[in-house]
Amino acid sequence: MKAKYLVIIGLLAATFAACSRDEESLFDKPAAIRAQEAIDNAFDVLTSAENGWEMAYFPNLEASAKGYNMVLKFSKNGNVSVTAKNSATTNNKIMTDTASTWAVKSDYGPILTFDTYNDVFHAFSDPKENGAGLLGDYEFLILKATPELVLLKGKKHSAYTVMRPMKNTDLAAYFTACEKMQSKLFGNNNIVTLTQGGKKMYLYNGAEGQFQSAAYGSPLVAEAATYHPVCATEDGIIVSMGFGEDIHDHIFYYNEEKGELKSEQGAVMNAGNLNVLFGAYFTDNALGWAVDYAGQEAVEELLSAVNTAMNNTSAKMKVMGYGYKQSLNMYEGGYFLLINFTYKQGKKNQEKKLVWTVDLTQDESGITVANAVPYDENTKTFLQQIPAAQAVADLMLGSYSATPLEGYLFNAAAGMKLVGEKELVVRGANNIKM
Amino acid sequence: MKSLYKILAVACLVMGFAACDNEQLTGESIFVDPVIDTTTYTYQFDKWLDKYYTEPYNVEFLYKLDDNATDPNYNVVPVSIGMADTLAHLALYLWYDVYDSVVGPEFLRTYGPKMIQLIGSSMMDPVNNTEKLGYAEGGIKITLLKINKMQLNNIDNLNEYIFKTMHHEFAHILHQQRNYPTEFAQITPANYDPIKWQERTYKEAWQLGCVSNYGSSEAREDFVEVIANYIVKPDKWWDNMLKEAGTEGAAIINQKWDICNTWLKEKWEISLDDLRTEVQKRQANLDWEMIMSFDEMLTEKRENAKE
Repeated sequence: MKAKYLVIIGLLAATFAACSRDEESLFDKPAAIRAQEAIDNAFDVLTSAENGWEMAYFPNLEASAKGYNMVLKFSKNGNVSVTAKNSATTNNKIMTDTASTWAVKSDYGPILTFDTYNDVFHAFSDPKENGAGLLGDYEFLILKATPELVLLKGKKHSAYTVMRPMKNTDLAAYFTACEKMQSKLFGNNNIVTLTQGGKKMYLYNGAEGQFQSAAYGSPLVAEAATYHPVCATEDGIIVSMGFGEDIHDHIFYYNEEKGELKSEQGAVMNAGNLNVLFGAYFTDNALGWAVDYAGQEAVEELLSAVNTAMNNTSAKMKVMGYGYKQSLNMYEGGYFLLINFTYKQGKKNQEKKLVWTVDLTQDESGITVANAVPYDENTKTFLQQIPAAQAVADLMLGSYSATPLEGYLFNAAAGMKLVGEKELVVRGANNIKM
Repeated sequence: MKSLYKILAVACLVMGFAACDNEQLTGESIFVDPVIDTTTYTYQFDKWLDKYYTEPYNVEFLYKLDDNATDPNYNVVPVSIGMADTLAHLALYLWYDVYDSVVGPEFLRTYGPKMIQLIGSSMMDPVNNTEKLGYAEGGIKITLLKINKMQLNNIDNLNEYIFKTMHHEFAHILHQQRNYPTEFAQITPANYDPIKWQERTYKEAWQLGCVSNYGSSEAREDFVEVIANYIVKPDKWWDNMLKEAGTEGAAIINQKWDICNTWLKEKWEISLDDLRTEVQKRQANLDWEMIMSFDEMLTEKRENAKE
């Protein structure tokens, strides 16, 4: 009997529950209407920019990927005009194609598609003979569409592409400004320290259209690098992906006064602590540092003494110069100082390579170079003949603090000033051989 | 009392099911006939396609690329509007009007593809060193590739990459609707190699009794390659192939040709030779000015036919 009651109660409950329609919808409108609204919004935003859009286009996220500047004008009739200037697809000339179409359609979200071939835009997607080409997308998921920013994600190759309304109405001036920014920030394969909160990392080799990143304070080893495509713009840089889990911003604005790039999230790229950077860069075996003395008078005096000594030898050698190949190198685990004298013996131009080992220590506060000891028999023999040459090597010894070169921003690779009792200018050089 | 329980139980069930039954249908269909938007950039071309393809042949001419409609394993690009326009005129002259003239105006409307899709690039497979130039799906859709690379003044290039592909894919559409004779596949079954066919030269394929190396990949490709090559290649090419194929190879190719010819005649009432004669006549006269204004001649022809 009890069972019957339970059945009846259960049925009654189910009956009334069936009518229950008081569950609140998570969204205020049906999915189809929201999808159409997203499409309409994207269409309106894209067609409303008076001067069109600047696009920082990233074809893909492969290790070889780079960023490219393009300017697009979307017309309400479905026509799109695309202009670009780059070495990969336009032979560094400004090229425009106005005879293709675009659309916003629905897929798994609103999609921006360039659905007929545009000579400029689809040059990045053309599979060429290898079936891949530059692996660029021409259909994009629209992640954000506001009058200030459109954020896209390539449907097939997943790179993020950023569009902002064009401020510059002069296309030639726009591309020139982007090139200048590229040159200023990355022209010398600079190393940048990226800081966000307490976290830091190195970014380097930006001249190739992409950053490589490495942990702060670590050696910069290309094999272990993570690649980040980057595109220089009029006002800074745009990156396709953020940097790790903490830094998601795509746009970094350049502040000339501070010599830094800063994202809206507050991440900052600048030269960072050059003393630390010096060590990171120096430990890359492929590189050495060509050294100039800022105090040229002292060098001239020393060279004069060397010259006199050489001239006094039976060989009557006359020093022509030294310099470029004077370098600090790390080679097979040791630190070396190289000085090349060029001299004239009779009518012949000669070259003498002298090598010392040095002790190089370095921490966040500075760099110390000490104990220049002749390394090979050639150097020892020469110094026995011309002891004054030792003073040229000793001139480099001392403690220094690294500071940027005047007129440069992120100049660790291009060079830096080592300031101590003496002043040296060191420039990265990768063609110095022992 | 028991009856009361039963009545209550039935009433609850009826109410339970009835509770949700309050939807009203509007009576309006969700399917709406597409209207060509007069404000679009491509309106003139779209209107032209409607007049010369959709209206007479019930075929949708897809030139704006939807990436979802392609094979995701390949990287492709859309066709340019200019090349789509050229191809549309060319197909009208060398394909659609040929069938109208040889077989009759109702043929393509009834049996032709319902969709023609154009893609600007080919589908390259660098691993296997192959290049896909077209494909036919389900008896209703033909996709033509590499249209952006058409060399309009190079008849050999057009023949190999465009004309042959059109007839190749259309032959697929036909056999997808009415199967080709099973005996065809039994002629040289051991010679088909779907994996390494591309490593064969044309001459090697001919000697195996296939008209092309792609034809030596599998029977259905062999079947349509016989038809397509016979239609578009000139006598000189066909005779040379039979000569280079050797006695045995030539005999096999002729045997295959007989089957294709009979199948077209019996299943479709199409004369392969008539089709070939008409195509060859038109190919020999590739006057682009005429081809691009062929639509006007066609309009006149159709109006005269009505009268």
